[in-house]
Amino acid sequence: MKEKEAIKKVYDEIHASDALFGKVMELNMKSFKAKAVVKYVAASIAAATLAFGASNGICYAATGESLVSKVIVLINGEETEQEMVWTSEGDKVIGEVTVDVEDGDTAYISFTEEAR
Amino acid sequence: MDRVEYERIVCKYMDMIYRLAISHTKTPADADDIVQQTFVKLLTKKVLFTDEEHIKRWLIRVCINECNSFFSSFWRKNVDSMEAVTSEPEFTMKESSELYEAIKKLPAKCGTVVYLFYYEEYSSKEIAEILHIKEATVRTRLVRARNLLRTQLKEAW
Repeated sequence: MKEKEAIKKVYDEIHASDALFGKVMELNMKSFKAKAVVKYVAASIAAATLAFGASNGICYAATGESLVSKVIVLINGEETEQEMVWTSEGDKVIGEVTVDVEDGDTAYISFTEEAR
Repeated sequence: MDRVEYERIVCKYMDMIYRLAISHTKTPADADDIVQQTFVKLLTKKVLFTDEEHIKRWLIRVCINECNSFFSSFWRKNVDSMEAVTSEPEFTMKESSELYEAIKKLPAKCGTVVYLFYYEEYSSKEIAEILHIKEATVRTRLVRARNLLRTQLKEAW
């Protein structure tokens, strides 16, 4: 079949580059080792930012601490509760959670609760 | 998944995933991203593979899912691709270059089916199973792809 041979010939000459190959080979679970820091950057929706800014201001005034919420982190399938610390940088809101994992562990972050 | 097995799978299927990704995305930059995301999934998902064909089909399925997610993502719609690690392929024959350009112009779904049918030599029934679509849909896409290629390439086809 002429068209089959022609198409096979085309794809025979398409290869991933050595650089891409190297990048993929370098991928490993060490990318998640020691500290997994997830930064969740929320879009700057005016109303939400104002509400956050106001409540954060209140938190700062009352407690001297940033707004904190609880998140569930799955490490190797087991749930652990971790604190997410919210800070504001200009018009951005950034949530940060830090977990320590061993080599080979898998960590997944899910957001389950409203900020308190 | 242990390291040795991961590297073996990468060596064996890297080009297949890249060819599939570029059939869908049309650009090396996007294909590079898809390839990396596909193999990240291989590393992070705990899948018990029954045999080699299972690995191959799983990778194809993940690659297609990544392509579909990629096209519908906010990032993809609003951010320009950075320079690709892999450059556009260079062909030894002019006919191959022309056919490649014609394949690039196919709709993404047709490009995927063309690759799986002609290069990986899956039947339309097998392609339907892998892509979770009807066999009739696979055949329709193949017919459509052939017609489009004939229109573009005229004499050669």
